Amino acid sequence: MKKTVLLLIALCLVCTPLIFSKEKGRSFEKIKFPPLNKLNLPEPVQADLPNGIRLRTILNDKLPLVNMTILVKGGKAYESVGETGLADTTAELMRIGGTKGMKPAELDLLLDSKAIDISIYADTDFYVVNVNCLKENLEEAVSLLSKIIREPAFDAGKLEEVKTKMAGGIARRNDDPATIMQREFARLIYGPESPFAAVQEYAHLDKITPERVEAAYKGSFAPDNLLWGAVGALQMPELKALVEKYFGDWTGKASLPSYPEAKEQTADFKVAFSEKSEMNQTYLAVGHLGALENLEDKAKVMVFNNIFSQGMDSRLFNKVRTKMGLTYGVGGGINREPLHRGLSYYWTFTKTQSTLKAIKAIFEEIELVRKEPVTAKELADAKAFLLDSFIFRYDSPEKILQRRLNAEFYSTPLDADKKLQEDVEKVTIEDVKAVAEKYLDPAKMVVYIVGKEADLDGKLEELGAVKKIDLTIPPPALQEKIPQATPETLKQGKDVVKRSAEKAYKGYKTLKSTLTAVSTTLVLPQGEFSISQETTQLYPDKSYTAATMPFGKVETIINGEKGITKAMGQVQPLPAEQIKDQRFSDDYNVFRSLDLYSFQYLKSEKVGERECDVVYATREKGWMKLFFDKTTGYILARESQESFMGQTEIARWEFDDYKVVEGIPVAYTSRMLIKGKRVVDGKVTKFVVNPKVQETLFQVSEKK
Amino acid sequence: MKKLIGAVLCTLFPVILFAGASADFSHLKGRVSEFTLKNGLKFILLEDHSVPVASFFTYVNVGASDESETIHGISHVMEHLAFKGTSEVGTTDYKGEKKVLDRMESVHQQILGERDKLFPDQKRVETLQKELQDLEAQAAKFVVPNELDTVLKRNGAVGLNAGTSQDYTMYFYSLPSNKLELWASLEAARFVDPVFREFYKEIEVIKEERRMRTENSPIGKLLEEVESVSFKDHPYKSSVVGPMSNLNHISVADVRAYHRRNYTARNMVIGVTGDVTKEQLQRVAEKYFSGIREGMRNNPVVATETPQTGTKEVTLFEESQPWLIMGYHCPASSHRDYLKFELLNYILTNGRSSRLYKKLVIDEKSALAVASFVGYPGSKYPGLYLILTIPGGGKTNADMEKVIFEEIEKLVKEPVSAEELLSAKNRLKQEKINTLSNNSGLLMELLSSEVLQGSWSKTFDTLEELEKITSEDIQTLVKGYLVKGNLTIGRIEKKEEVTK
Repeated sequence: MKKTVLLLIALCLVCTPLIFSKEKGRSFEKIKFPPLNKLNLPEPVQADLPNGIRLRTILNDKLPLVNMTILVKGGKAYESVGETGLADTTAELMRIGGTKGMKPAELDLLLDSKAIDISIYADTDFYVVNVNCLKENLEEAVSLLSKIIREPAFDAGKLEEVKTKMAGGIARRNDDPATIMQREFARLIYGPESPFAAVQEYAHLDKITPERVEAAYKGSFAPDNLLWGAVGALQMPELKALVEKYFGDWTGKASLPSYPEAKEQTADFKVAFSEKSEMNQTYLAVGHLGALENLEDKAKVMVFNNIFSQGMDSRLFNKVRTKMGLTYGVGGGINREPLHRGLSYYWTFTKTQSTLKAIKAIFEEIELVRKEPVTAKELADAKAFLLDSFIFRYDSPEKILQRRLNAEFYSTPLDADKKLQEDVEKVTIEDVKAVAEKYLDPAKMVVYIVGKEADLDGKLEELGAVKKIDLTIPPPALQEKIPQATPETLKQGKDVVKRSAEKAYKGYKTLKSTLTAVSTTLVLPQGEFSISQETTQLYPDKSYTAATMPFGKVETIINGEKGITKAMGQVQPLPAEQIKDQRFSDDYNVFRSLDLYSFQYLKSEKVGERECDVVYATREKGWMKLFFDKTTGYILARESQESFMGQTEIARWEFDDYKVVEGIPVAYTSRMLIKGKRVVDGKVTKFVVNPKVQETLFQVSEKK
Repeated sequence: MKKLIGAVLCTLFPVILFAGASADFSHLKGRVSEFTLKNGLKFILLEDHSVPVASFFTYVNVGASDESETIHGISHVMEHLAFKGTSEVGTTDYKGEKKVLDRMESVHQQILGERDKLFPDQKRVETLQKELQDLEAQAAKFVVPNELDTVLKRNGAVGLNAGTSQDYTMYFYSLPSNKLELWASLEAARFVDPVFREFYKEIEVIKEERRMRTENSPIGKLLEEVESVSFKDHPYKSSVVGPMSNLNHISVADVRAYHRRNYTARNMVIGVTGDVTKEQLQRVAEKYFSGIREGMRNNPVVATETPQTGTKEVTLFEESQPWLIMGYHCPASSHRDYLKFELLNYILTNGRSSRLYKKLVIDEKSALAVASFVGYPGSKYPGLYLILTIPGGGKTNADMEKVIFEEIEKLVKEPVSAEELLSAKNRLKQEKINTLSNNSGLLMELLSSEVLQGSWSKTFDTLEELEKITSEDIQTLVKGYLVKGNLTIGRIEKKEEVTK
């Protein structure tokens, strides 16, 4: 330890005169600096318990506070494919799910009343447990911590709270462009299934059960896997006594799957792009998979990163921000991780019209630093900064402890920092060039951009092969699990529908056309909107709808497999999927082409006061649930997956006020609900059976 | 009867409140010293000789709220330009450079003069702009970009940055403590001899910053709107970055005049913490900072916000999930009620046992997060108390509003229990003590108290004042401020297409 101190002082003294002897002699350059005062680095005190818990403490008694950090091997790297989010859930649920002796609300209340802050989160390589409390509450904090760590209850209700938050996070993941850029770029480089980039989907939430959480917890939280640091108004004997009291009799061993490897992905593109049309800036990243950290050339990489991309006087900052004025922020670097290959990449954001310009500037700088050696001044400045600022790694006992825990966790030799400083001193111009050549390969680098394509300063193809990345969030799966169909349930289902067809809907046999006028109210956050629409159907496959919207008339025409909408002077084609969906759910088709559907009987259920048979109908890809009134045979409700206001939801239509018009049952009142909330109200104002219809009405052309 | 018990209990409980904490502040207070130069520049020093490092904070008593309409955004522009160097730092030859810079200024003034006309001559503007670009290229040859950063960093500086708010502009960085004189020399030069080089490019950088913080960030946009809606008289209504139109119009002359008026000795306080003695600091302060013009301390802004007598609302339709902000006008940090609002944070939203967190996030699972904040967008003048929620689980902003009003009503009808008050006090105390345990954090509090409350020592009175707050105080606070007539609601709703 003394050696470290002496070396630090020596280096500081060495560097200072070296720099100033070369300068021109500006006023501040003539200042003579006194030697740096002695640095007394407190050394962490060590104690290992028989059951494996490792304790490290540093005294800091300026204030009666204690801060503790526990590193527990485990975390996101160990998640299996399809279980993204399990580590986060485990961490959160340990804290909020209560303990075997304490209900969640009880524990929350007690922690808050004593201002004991306990938090747990999952990082890539480990879980982190943080405790912050006043010295006078230390024993209570350790006691409660022992219950949380040794006997978490994983309350199922709290699991729902965690999942609700996570579902909310999924829904919001495209709201912030910086988040999108980091997430999607990592996915491109690591691959979508790699735990280093996997993105949580709704489908993953379903897989997170209390059993899986408990298994993840058991794999990591064991005495032989706790690296426990404490800094504050306490010393080792006191901490050791408390930990022995509350954790001493805890036994067990951690057991984790093997650590995954980051594998290089073959890219069949040079630039990937995601559309986010409302932006007037793009966010972009340029790079490729990096390397594993190694202590051999760590100093050289540090110097390179400092010169090239880190800080206000770096090459990238000087070029892209200061000289070209293209951005407020640019950065990145050769990033190596201790246990898996990191990402070597550079990022920035700029107004859309200077996107390609910025990308070209970045590539130019990368080419330049690989081709030409850096200047002697750049090298000297970088080395001086790294050496003279080294002291800031140790400028608080908290930082010293953090560095110690990290070094122990990753088995970094405890004198690595000393060696690093020696190595930085030795770095040459050739070393820096060699780093650029070895660790940056512009030919392999891919670009990822998120923004509005139409406003770019050029075509994406100018950079190379283009790949479009769709940001659409895959919707949640069906809420209810449909049991496996059996011959019995299929027959039963078909019988229900046949009965209905013969008894209530026999009018469809001779139906040729209909004219329906509906008054619809949409209930949206913005308010309620009334729309009136009139639909002319010429069966089997033609329809014309004219809707009166707040902003004008909208016409929708379907003719066979083709369809268009006309609104505000614009003509848009209807997606084939939408036409198919509409036809699939139309009563006419249900009752006239029974054999094309599969009808599985599910159960009896009430709709309002009426008992219904619930039938699960499928045809090729689509599905819907139909609720047939057991007495009348009318369809009282229909559930299906629908796209509503840009989201895919399960919509439930309910039908009421049935009247029979020339043999056709018509529900004069209907409503649509999503998650139990009414969003659409409909009232039929006119219904005509077999009106005369002009074929020209269904003309599907591109003309206005 | 209940009320009486409440009163009695309140006087019993302080014993259980953290006793140990108060004892140590005299020790902290003892490490603070101050002195003022002849030109009125005040220095506050917080000594700590445990590590040979020092951190420096220059707190300028000018912010966005001091700006007039047409140059709104200029405090922030000034902040950026303060990194561009001096006649010594950042240039290869200032004499030659100045000639080009002066010409650029003159051309720019002509451009502005032409553009400002009712019928500007576009051709003339274009010609002048080309001339400006050519001059920029010439000027660039003299520039040593970001040299201030280079010089500081090769002497071991870290954390070089600055910030502009409605109330102040602050510059800070840390150095090994034996470089004290370097700091003094360069920091004073920044304010005595600034050169506003690379001005036009830096304006472009600031535009990108505005795009990033506001135009491409739904919540950033919403906050800007809430400010402008909730304030109509007071300058808190305008954002710190300012509108694009101002950024296109501010000139070097504007910045120079602004700097001259505001960056004066009496309008700044300098804070230093770390391994520096009072004698050492006084010596370098007198040597380098005496050259700063005395000037005047800025007068407070004249405009006072007319009391609101109704609810104001603004709703944005964005490509984003919903957000909700409820903003109630609240007092400045110098007012005795301000601390009560800080305590209200821990009753309403901070902590799993807090009212809104428990109701919305835990019980109903209808919110993903809740938060509250006093003194937005500033605390030098009366600002806003914000309650922010993010709906989840299929719930809407309307659902959040309903619950928030219900919970406020509960706080109005019945004072919080003694246990609840104590729990909140303990946690706020914990937060304050954590701040005191970090030198930079503590120094910033001292500077803030000095400027906004008249004396840095007020920082150490907070815990004592906290103990005196009663449940009735909180009830009165809520009754008085959290009323619908004092409220601005800001919402983000997901942009809907009203066609299916």
